[in-house]
Amino acid sequence: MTTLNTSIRDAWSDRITSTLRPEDPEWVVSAKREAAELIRSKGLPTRRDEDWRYTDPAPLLEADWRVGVDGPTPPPTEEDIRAFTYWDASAVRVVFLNGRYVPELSVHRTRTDGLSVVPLSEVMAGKHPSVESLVAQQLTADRPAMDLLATGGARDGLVLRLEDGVEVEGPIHVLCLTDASGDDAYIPLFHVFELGGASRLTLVERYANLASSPRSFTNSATDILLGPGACLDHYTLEREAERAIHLGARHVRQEDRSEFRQTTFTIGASLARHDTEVLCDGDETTTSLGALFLGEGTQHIDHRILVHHRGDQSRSEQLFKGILDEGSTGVFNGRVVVDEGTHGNDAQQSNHNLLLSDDATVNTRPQLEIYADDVSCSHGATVGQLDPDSLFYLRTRGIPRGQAESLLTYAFASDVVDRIRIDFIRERVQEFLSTRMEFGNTSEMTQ
Amino acid sequence: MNLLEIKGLEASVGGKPILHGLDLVVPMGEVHAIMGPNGSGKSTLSYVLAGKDGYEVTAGEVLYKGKNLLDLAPEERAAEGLFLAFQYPVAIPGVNNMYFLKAALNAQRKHNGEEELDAVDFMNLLDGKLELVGLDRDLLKRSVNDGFSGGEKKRNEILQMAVLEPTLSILDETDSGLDIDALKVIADGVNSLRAPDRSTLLITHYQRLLDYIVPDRVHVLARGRIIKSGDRHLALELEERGYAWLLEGSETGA
Ligand SMILES: Nc1ncnc2c1ncn2[C@@H]1O[C@H](COP(=O)(O)OP(=O)(O)OP(=O)(O)O)[C@@H](O)[C@H]1O
Ligand SMILES: [Mg+2]
Repeated sequence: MTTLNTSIRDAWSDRITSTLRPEDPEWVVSAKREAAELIRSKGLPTRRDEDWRYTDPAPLLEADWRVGVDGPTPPPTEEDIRAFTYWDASAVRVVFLNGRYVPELSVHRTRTDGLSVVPLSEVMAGKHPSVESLVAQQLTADRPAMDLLATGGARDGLVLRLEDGVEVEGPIHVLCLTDASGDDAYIPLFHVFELGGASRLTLVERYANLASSPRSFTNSATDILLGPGACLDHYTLEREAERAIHLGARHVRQEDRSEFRQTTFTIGASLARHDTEVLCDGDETTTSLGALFLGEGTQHIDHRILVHHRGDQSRSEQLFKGILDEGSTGVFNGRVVVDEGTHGNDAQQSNHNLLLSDDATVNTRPQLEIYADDVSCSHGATVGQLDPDSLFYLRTRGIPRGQAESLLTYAFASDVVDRIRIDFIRERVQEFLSTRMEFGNTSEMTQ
Repeated sequence: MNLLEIKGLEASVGGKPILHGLDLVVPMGEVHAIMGPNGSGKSTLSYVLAGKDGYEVTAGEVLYKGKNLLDLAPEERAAEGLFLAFQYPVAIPGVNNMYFLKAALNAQRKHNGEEELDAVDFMNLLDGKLELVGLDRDLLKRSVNDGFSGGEKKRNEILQMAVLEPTLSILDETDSGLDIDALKVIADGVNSLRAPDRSTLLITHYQRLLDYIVPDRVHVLARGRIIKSGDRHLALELEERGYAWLLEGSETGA
């Protein structure tokens, strides 16, 4: 390890301990100290790490990030966040600003028995003993160093627990906003969702910046534990500002017959990195991961996925699609591991990329590691331009070239968009895409 | 007046010369059939007329409504009323068939300074056309040609033709692979567009279609040229005798 790396990891270690408060209970103190110590001993990733081969972590680690940056004064009002909530019919909305829970902007329209939704800050302040052990356990779980920077540094995030058999109607909306005064705010967040057996939930995590957009670094970690037969439909909408850096990591553990469905839209940030690790620990689990990422300018968007089949008779699928314009770059690093001695697993993986400019690039790296005999796996990756025959066909019907290109680009994205089961979000995403691709109303465009 | 005049057309695909000095005139209001052996250049001609990239015209000219057709982009040719029913219609997953039809019609209307149709007017227009073509309404909700059967694709081409009401329709083997009922649908579609100010170019291998759509002229395209033209009786003669007797004569001429 180089000296440079030593001083950087010391700085990060100090950033973590600087988030300690005198009133913190013992379990918080020890978890944060442990994270700080691990950073010092384990070090931080470099480009030599397999997981960071196509995204250099150095620039984002080296910058002089400040922790605990305050939000604007006066704090934003309901009116200020209207752009993110006007369409929101969620039963529960939890708002974080610069990594801190904002009770004034959060709403709990319904109270469901067996559902607890509380901010991590309150759990750390000893206000919710019932979820304390869950949080303490996840805080000390083994995880990559980059995620430790999030979990160790976080003072807030969403802690959600759903009791066995509870079904929550309507989505829960987690809105994580950044509005840092001045540059270089480091914003760690730690979310923990635990779904009891046969419970059901739809949850939307959304990351965005309020009006002004100084350089900021959001680092969020989301731990998801799915009990037997639990079902989570999870959405991540990331549209941070132009100069923002966004790292988001999801660690999912699935027990028997549980279903995890995740759809990610990555649109913003100068550098966005989304990690998803799913441990299919039980039998007969279902995992469906879908993502659409759109790059322009000099954006760099990296998706790393690991789906690990440890049980039998489970199904996993991955559908990742990138549309890269101008000088943007995309990365798909998708790994599927099927353990020795498992039976009847089915793992499908696909990554398709559309390059709209000669300067856009994508690195796609699908990896299957199959140690079982009784398994069905497939993977495919494509990188291409718009299909000339389709383009010609549309033009022979009178549709001008530009419009035909937009239409085909939109069509390319449609199967990921169609995954969205929440009507108002699907419509907003369609609206966004149609504006981005410069044509009018598309509500009737795809089936 | 001639709607289409092709003079000495030579064209190459991927550097390979396919059309070798092709002459053809289609007067306004007439239906002409083009027949010819496989690989003789019929589809190539249709692509050149529609403006496909990679089909390079090396000599000759094409006048459409008296103007140089080859100067126009494919979408401009379409807006000027030229329509090609593809021998192999392209499937476009993710683009809704109905949306596509409406976008096409409105793009053409806009180009021609006409008001675009709103959803209601479009549906009204479509209802009549659907009946004419006998296409299952459900196919409108699907992606363009995606997973359509061979016959459904061909009917979909005819539906587009019926909606767009082109001035010059070029049908490239639209009758191939169709059952008798579908054949009549195609014929009805073409015949319904028959008018003094429209023309049709039918590329076909079968005299059968010409029983339903009686052509004004029949041309034989072989080895990249029109080697014989005649009235509808020529099609009957070809049906009986094949192309060999014509090809022998053309070899020395080429
Ligand atoms: N892209 C290409 N590169 C090289 N040769 C081509 C290309 N496209 C077509 N050809 C050749 O051009 C010739 C004419 O093809 P075309 O499709 O026009 O024939 P056709 O008359 O429509 O035949 P069919 O009756 O079978 O439909 C054929 O020999 C074909 O192989
Ligand atoms: Mg052909």
